[in-house]
Amino acid sequence: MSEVVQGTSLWQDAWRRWRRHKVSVGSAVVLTIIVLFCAFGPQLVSLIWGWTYEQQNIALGPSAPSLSHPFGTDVLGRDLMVRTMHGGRVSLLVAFVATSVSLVVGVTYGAISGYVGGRVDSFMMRFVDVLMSTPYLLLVIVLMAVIPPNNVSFFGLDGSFVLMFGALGLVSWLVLARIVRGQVLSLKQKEFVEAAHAIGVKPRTILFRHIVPNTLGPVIVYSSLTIPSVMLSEAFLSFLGLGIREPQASWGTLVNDGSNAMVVYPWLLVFPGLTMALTLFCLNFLGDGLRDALDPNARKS
Amino acid sequence: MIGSVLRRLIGILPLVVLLALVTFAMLKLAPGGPFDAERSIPPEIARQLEAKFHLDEPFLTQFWAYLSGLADGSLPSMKRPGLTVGELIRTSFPVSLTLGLLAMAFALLTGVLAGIIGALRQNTIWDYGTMSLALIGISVPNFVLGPVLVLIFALGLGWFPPARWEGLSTMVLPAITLGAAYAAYIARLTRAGMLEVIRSDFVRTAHAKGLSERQVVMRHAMKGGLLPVVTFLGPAMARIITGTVVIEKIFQVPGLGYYFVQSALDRDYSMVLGVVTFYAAILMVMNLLVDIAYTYLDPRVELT
Amino acid sequence: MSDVLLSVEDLQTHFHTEYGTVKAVNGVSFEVKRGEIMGLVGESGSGKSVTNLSILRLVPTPPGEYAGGRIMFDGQDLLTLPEHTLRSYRGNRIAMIFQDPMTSLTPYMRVSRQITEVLELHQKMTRTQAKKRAIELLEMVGIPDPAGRVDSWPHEFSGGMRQRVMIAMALACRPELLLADEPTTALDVTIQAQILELIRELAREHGTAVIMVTHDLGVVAGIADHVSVMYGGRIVERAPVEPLFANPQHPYTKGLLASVPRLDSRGELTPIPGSPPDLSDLPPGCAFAPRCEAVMDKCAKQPGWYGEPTLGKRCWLGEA
Repeated sequence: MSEVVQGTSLWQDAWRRWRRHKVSVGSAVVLTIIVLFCAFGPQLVSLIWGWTYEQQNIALGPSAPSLSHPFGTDVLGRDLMVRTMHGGRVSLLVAFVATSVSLVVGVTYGAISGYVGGRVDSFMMRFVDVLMSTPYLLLVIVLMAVIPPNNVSFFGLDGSFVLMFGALGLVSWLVLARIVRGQVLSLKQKEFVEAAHAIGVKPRTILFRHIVPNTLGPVIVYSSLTIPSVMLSEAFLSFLGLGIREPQASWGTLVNDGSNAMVVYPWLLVFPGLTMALTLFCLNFLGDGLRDALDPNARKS
Repeated sequence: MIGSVLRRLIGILPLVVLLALVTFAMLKLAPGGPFDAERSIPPEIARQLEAKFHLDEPFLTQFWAYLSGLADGSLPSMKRPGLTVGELIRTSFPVSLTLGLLAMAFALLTGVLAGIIGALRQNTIWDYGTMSLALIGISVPNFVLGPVLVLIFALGLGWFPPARWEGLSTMVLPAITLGAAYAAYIARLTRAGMLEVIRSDFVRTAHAKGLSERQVVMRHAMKGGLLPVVTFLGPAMARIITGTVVIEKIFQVPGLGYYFVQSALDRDYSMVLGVVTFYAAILMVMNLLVDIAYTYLDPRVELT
Repeated sequence: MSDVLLSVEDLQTHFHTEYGTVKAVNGVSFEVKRGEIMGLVGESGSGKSVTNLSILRLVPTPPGEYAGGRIMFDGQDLLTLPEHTLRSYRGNRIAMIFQDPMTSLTPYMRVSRQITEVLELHQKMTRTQAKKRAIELLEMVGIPDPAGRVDSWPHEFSGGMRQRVMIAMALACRPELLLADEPTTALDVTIQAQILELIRELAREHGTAVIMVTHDLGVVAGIADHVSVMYGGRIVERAPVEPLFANPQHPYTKGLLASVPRLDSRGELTPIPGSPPDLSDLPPGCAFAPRCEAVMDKCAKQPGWYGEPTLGKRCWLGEA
């Protein structure tokens, strides 16, 4: 009996709890559909109708949703559905890569700070405090405004993407660093770390092989909430005309165009806006479910 | 206490200077100068302009010139003749401040109320209702919410004007648009904080004393339950300040954020530097105020 | 005025959790007279604290549920009393001392206010009167320099001092019934003796009935008139204090006494083998049977109560 109880590891336990969180599971399904829609949609559309995201049809101009253009077309006669899919690709990619950047920086920084401790720790954390209280998005705005995108290119991608990845990733690691540090501080007191020390494992190995993997729960939870916030920041910058540039599109730029024309051509706002809001909604619900499942402190009694 | 506040205030100064230096370095290191776009400018005039804005001097001398210009607000705009940083802040910051404070007031009022209702009526229709609304609030970007609100309440129902900034009725929609996401976030924080406190031993003690639910919540639970919200106020200020940038664009509000983006796009370096530095200083003072509020709420915490 | 102040009859307090229904209190009955001190002993998880909480209806519902029984206090059933009447009893006629002094005081409120609010609420005192009384109370529970310390924050007090503040709060309105949950575990031995003396005095002079929840048999021997032993959500033995210690009847009580060091015997301590029962999955018979030395075939059926209400046991041993 007791063997069975011990056999259910933290992860199995979490998985069981998460699956009971119906809304969270539903969100994961919807998200998968949205991702597939954005990833494979453009090919499908070009197969069926032949539209691409930059293909203009000035003669057609803005047209309301119809059978040949399910989401309608924009002022230049471009198919809005393909543009929404394409915008989704960009937004999701930026969010994913920026979150990865913040993950690497935040986990490393927090782990080192917590593990080394003492003065190094208090200095490193003070630095995080200072950065947290700066209006960093203003700095990103400055950065995006002054650097001409064409001067940079990265694996053939437009420079504005690369900048966005870097800038957004570099500003969202702060909270993560704090969380990881807190975890490491308590984990390094644990017996298995003492044991590793005693048998002569190198500190770096202890930190990254034994301690960091144990901080994974909170890290996953927080990252799942970083993705929507990065997506919002990307959209925010694109909305200001500082992010993704024409003819590329992201959900932010599409919503910006849509909100300018919403009185006359409401579909231009409705479709990209709804898609984006739905995605963010699902990401937040997913994060909520993950937190209930993975964060023992937030567990309901 | 007073000593700590003074020490913290003095500590802010070097941080602001440091941030100004980083911004300045970023501007200087970026390829291209402020006058590159205007190719029609003859070299002679370009040189005069560069001399006027100290662009031909060594890095630190330049920085010092800008910094002292910032200190008394006399730093001139590179693109709008006659405008100084001080002038711009004096005329447009009050607008942004009003917008930000209104949004914050809206967020705190509705957020705390919704959070307490959600916690006290846990797992009822009230709880699910307010929390679903909160999740929607977090998920809908304000630049989507803004136009939608305008569509419904300004163009549809005609209750409020769609744009401009000329009196209280024009402030309602911008403030709600800006505050909605924070209201939602505060509601979730309040609910989580209250739920944790309500389950704690000292709340049980308070119930055992025979206090009514209202007295228990107001006297014993509220302070502890709102601590996470107070912690959030610092970052929230920072985000509301940057958020005004978008709101001011949507509603054509003549605030500082609006001019900041214009300056950044125009490569008006002196204005950009001025606004960033100014906002940084404001934020750090706000954070200090939040910390002071925290020590008042939780007697176990001291100001460091 | 009846001599019996509190009569708990077949109380059932259950918790509905994701692992099933936990029957924390599973048919508990006992009586407490005015001026009587009853010790309620048992291992942690035996249901003694939940019994105490149920009397003041402080078990959170949900997940808790009062699934059955009555709690008659001075002729009224506390389980069906309207909320506002019950509130006027809480902290006034019935007061409670909680177990953990570190977390049971509100950290955001000065000590003085936490005491005076009870007095203002139930005794309609003014703030100045209440403050004066609070200082008296703190002096009574042995806090040095009470006038100087009354306005401290809880975190400025040690654990023992906080526990004494808790006790002062509970005694503030001279309750008729005092529910004490491990009131002295956090205290030094000298303070412990002082507090126990205070409770004894309260019982003697004001006729306060006391239910003292504890696992410390020494405390029980020193203060209680009667003892109820709980196991697996039920009372398994009840007796006045002398016979219980001299001649325990239930195998669990015997085991409990044998696992406690005593001055008069130098014999070895014998712990009870096994672990407490899983309250969400109780066997149909005696809950103690899996750990019992004297287990018989009959133990697969739930034993009844043998003996008087105040002197008896729930065990098949030596019965029909």
